[in-house]
Amino acid sequence: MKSEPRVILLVEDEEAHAEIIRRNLEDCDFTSHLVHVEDGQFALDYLYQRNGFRPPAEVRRPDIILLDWNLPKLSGLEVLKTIKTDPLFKRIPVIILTTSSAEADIAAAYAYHANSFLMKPMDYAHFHQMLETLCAYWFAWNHYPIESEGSMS
Amino acid sequence: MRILDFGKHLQEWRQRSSSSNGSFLFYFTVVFVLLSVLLILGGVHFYHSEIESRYHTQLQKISAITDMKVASIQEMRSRFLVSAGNFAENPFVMDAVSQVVQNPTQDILKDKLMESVWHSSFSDGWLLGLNGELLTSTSKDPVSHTAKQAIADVLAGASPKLCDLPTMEGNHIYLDVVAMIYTKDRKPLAVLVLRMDLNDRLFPLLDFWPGAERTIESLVVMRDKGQALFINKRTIQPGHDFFEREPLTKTHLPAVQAVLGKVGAYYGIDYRGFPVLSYIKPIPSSAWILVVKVDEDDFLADSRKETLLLIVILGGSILLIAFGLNWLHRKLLSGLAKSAEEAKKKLLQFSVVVEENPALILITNRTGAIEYINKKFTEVTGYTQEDVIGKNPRILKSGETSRAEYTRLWKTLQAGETWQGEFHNCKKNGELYWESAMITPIFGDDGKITHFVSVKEDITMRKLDALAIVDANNQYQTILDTMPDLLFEVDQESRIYQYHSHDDTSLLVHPEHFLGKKMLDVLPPEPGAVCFAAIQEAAAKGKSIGGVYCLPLPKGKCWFELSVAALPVQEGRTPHFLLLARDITSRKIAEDELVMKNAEIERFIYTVSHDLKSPLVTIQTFLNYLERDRNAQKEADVVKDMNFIRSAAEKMAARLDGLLELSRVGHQVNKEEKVLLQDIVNEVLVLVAGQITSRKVEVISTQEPLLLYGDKGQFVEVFQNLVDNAVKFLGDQPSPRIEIGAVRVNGDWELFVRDNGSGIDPNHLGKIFGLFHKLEPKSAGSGLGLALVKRIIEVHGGHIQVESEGLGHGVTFRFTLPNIKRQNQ
Repeated sequence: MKSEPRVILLVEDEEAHAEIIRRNLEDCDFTSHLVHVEDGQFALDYLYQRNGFRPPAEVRRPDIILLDWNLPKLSGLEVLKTIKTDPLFKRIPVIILTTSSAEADIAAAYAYHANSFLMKPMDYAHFHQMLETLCAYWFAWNHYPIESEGSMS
Repeated sequence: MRILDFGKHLQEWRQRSSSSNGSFLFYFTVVFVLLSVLLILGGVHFYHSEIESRYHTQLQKISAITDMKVASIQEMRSRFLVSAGNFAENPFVMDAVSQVVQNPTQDILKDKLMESVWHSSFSDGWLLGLNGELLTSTSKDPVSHTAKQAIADVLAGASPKLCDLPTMEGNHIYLDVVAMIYTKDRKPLAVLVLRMDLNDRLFPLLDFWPGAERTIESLVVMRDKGQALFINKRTIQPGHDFFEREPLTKTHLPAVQAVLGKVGAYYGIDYRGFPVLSYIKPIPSSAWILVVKVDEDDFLADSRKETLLLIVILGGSILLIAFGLNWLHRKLLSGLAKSAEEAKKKLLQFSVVVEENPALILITNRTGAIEYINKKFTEVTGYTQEDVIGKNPRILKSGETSRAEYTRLWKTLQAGETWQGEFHNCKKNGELYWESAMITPIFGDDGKITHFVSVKEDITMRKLDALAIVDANNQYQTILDTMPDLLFEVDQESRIYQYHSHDDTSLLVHPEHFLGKKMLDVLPPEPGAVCFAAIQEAAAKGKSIGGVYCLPLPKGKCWFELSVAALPVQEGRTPHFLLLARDITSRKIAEDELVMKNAEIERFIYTVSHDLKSPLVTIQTFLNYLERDRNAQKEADVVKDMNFIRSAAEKMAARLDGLLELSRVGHQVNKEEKVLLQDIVNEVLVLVAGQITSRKVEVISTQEPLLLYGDKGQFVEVFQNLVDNAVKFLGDQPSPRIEIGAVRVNGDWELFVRDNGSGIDPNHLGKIFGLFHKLEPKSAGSGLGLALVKRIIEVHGGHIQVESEGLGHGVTFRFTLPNIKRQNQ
């Protein structure tokens, strides 16, 4: 288990939902660093460090991206498309986290190489369990390719 | 009528031809027989006269020669006799003989005497005494038997005698002559027998013949010992010798006849069995008879041959002519018989044709009495021959045929013309039926009408069928006329032959522009190709259903659905197809609308499920947190949690309100009225006056007196939302301006609301009309406004779009509404 905390990029327009995820991660066994952006445009700005977006010094390239599907400005699908077609970011696991369960959305997500598609649980316990499992899976069990590109800085 | 005429003519012709044929044969035979008889008689006569003349000629010839030969023989004999007499009268001889008689030893004298015999050209000589003793001789042989007879005769006082029967010695035939030698005083002194060789004298004479006949034979015969004796050799047939004999019983032999005393011509059979002509003449003062004969063949053969040839030629010619004529006649006869047979067959055929004719045939006499009906007549009417023969056809009258029609019928017939028409007649069982009739008068030789022939056809079924067809046609036409579709008859190349439209206004062009032309050429490329493909499919499978094509017409796009079916194939024509084009524009529009509505509903449901679920997740989760935080006595967190819950609940309430409002406008236009654009704008400006003044926005509105048609309240909502939205996104524009305007695009009015605010990233333009979609999550509003605007405009039949040249360049919403008009128009 790596000692360095993992960086999670959360793209979520609903402040309340972002708060829920933040709290859950704090309760989680795994230490992680959460970066929250409110829409798709910000997410890309963050990744590409543009439009005057300057992340804090300690913030690195995300190890995993939690992406809401229905976002203002750029939708989750558009963000996913951009990430997965860019050689720089396409290896970052993108986990879709949304209230939608529409088949068309799921199909579109996987068509653009989403790594997982999760539906937001309706209560705290399930939410917690889900995030716990998610962290265990992606941070403990899963192996990543060695990134020669290194960090974002 | 033609049939009967033909029969009559045929019979007459047959009679004529058969009688002329008989007399011809008779005359021919008589002439032939007479000719033959004449020829035969002529031939016989000719033959007879020819033969007779030949006989006559031949007879003359042989009789003359016989006479000559007889004279010669006679002369030979008499010379012989004379020379013998002379010898005996010779004084030397007399003297010598007397000396010898007196002195028989006078041998020298004897020798001299005998020497003188030879000198006197006799062959031999015997000198005998009166007592018959031999005094001397030249030969050692004794005196012949016949000579002895003659000696006796001479001694008895006869003159010198020539023997008739010759003697043969060796190869020579001799004839003896006996003479008495007297003394000077005429006293018998001795008897002298002299022998003469006939070989040198007689036979050459006999064998000589001056003519050309090959079978001529001269025979010297005499009677001897009851037989006919041939002195000379019969030379015609080899193997005969001198002195042959034939019995007198063979009376057919000319020689026997001669011996029996016949003199002159005799026609008989000779020793060879050949028919011969002979001439018999006795040689005077002798027993000899000369018979000269010649074969009949020798002088008749030519004649016979010629005659035979003539007979053969003539007979052959006659036979040839007879056979030729006979052959010709037979051929003629067989030809006649054949044509007569054929005519008979024809007549039989015609009678069968009449009897078995599928038409009703009726023959009446001049007065109208029925003489004949055929089978079909009985079959149709039920009347048998027994029922109708002798009766008038009016028994069929039903009363349905008009009196005028009958009058016309009789007038026509009496004028000698053929009448044609229809009867509505009555059968035996009372049933009515229709018949089509043709009645023709038949004329006798005197030119007067003798019969009427009526040929009729039962057309009841046809009448009914025709009515049914008319009905069906009417029905068909009615069906066609009530069909809204266009019908075309086309061939495989899509050439249009016929069309049907219930109403010619449904045709887009005048028929003359497409009749006879190919759909491929008449229609625009794409519809043409669709029609052509459908026709090809129908050609392959029999029908084609469901092809759809779109025609851009002045009234807008029109959609047509095609059904093509192959028409029944007609002989000598390329396959034709029935092409039915149904205008499905309204259906198509409805379908498209339905598709749109469905998509909208789907979007709606999606939105609802997503956007209503989202606050629920928040509420549920934070209730857990709230519980936990309250248990942990974390007062600050409890407040926080409760705020989250509250804001989520508020969001949900707002969204539910929005949905309600959307559904309210979404269903229908509540009321429709004419609204002046200025009125709407003015009302809206009142409603948004607060925001406008606080942001110091300059609002420019068009002065066009445009009339909108629809729900005024909803129009107000549209403009209010658009202005709201514009104000919201004015950004940090120092001199904000909102423009409400109208422009004419392609003759239609287009309205727009334009601002000079922060604008929208073109990437985001697509989703700004989405329900609960907010470009700025933190911005005020429910995210419903633009969705509502779009819905209202679309419900009114209009269309809205948004454009922005990017951030900082403002946004323009353009929309159309149907029926926007200038007020004064």
